[in-house]
Amino acid sequence: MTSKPDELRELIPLYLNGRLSEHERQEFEDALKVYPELKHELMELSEIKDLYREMEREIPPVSENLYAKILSNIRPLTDKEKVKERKGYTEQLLESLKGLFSSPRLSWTVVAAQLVIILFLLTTMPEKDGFRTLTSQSTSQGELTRINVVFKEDAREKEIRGILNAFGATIVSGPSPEGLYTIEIKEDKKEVVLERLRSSGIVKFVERAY
Amino acid sequence: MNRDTEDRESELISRVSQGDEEAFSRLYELTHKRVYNYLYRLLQDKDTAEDIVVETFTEVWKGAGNFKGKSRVTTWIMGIARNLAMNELRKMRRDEGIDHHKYLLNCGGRDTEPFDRRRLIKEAMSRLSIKHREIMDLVFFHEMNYREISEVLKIPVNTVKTRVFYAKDALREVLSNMGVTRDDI
Repeated sequence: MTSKPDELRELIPLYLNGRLSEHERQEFEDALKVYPELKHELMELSEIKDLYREMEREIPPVSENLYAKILSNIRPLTDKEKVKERKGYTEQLLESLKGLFSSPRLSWTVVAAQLVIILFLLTTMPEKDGFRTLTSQSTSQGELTRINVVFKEDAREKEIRGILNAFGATIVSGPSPEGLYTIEIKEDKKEVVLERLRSSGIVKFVERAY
Repeated sequence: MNRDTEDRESELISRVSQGDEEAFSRLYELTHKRVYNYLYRLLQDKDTAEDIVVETFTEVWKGAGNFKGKSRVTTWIMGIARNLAMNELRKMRRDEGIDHHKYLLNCGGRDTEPFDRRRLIKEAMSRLSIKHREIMDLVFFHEMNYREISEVLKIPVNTVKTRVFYAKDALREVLSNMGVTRDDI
């Protein structure tokens, strides 16, 4: 017998549970004759093991509906997973985003972030440029005014283009069979434009359109 | 547990990971009693033990794909059950507002019932700390070897070995507090 008492002691539970090989068991039983303390410890633990056998009988049986409870827990998962499999990638993505934004905390965070961005734009954008949404026309309608103008027959296209560009005017319609153009200019330049057109020498008629 | 049982459980858990409900039912049949007995001994309450069994097998269903095969399936399931049971025990201790371990160890005094050696040892075992009661359960009730216990408890094998004997010494101490000397038993 070469094993130390401490190592033999560790074998007691394995011996009692029948987990030792034949050779190990024989060595252990030989050691019991040499070490009385080992034998005493074996008896103590053997009694404990016997008690466990008794206690096993005292454990109340498992309820019959236990598996049904487990099924009710896992079945919603199963159904959800099946639905997920049927859905396409886009739907899954949309569902995930919906789930993400359904969190009240996150929604309020987004609202707060938007507010900060709006305040930042309001305080940093130059006032004269104003604000424009993607769906709006290039300039706000309220700042423009329309003018009807008829150029003289001998006015050249180059002269007409030159004068209109000088005012930043846009041709809204025309020319009509009578040679009438309707142009659009900024409201605040209205008087100056009318004056310049009248004195240009190439305009037969000019008046504000209503 | 023989090799065939291990192989069968491994095959079942693999099928469970693919959503096979029949395999899950079979795995439950093979393992639930062991899990329930372990939980009942640990928690000492049928309803709580059953609740944890439900939670454990729900986790098994959800996490079967995470089983790497490094341990036996039963050992893996017992590990899940233990984690959940420990959470429950922590909750129970918070609710009770007492240190259950100290309480159990300090309960002293010989009972007024007629002396009965086996009954006294059983009583003393129930007064052990959860840590010590658990290791005794795993060794003597579930007959696990040291390696399997180390996988369930997630502690080194050497710690398992020493803890078994610390538990036995603690049992002797509880018996002594109850007025029973080593010679009495």
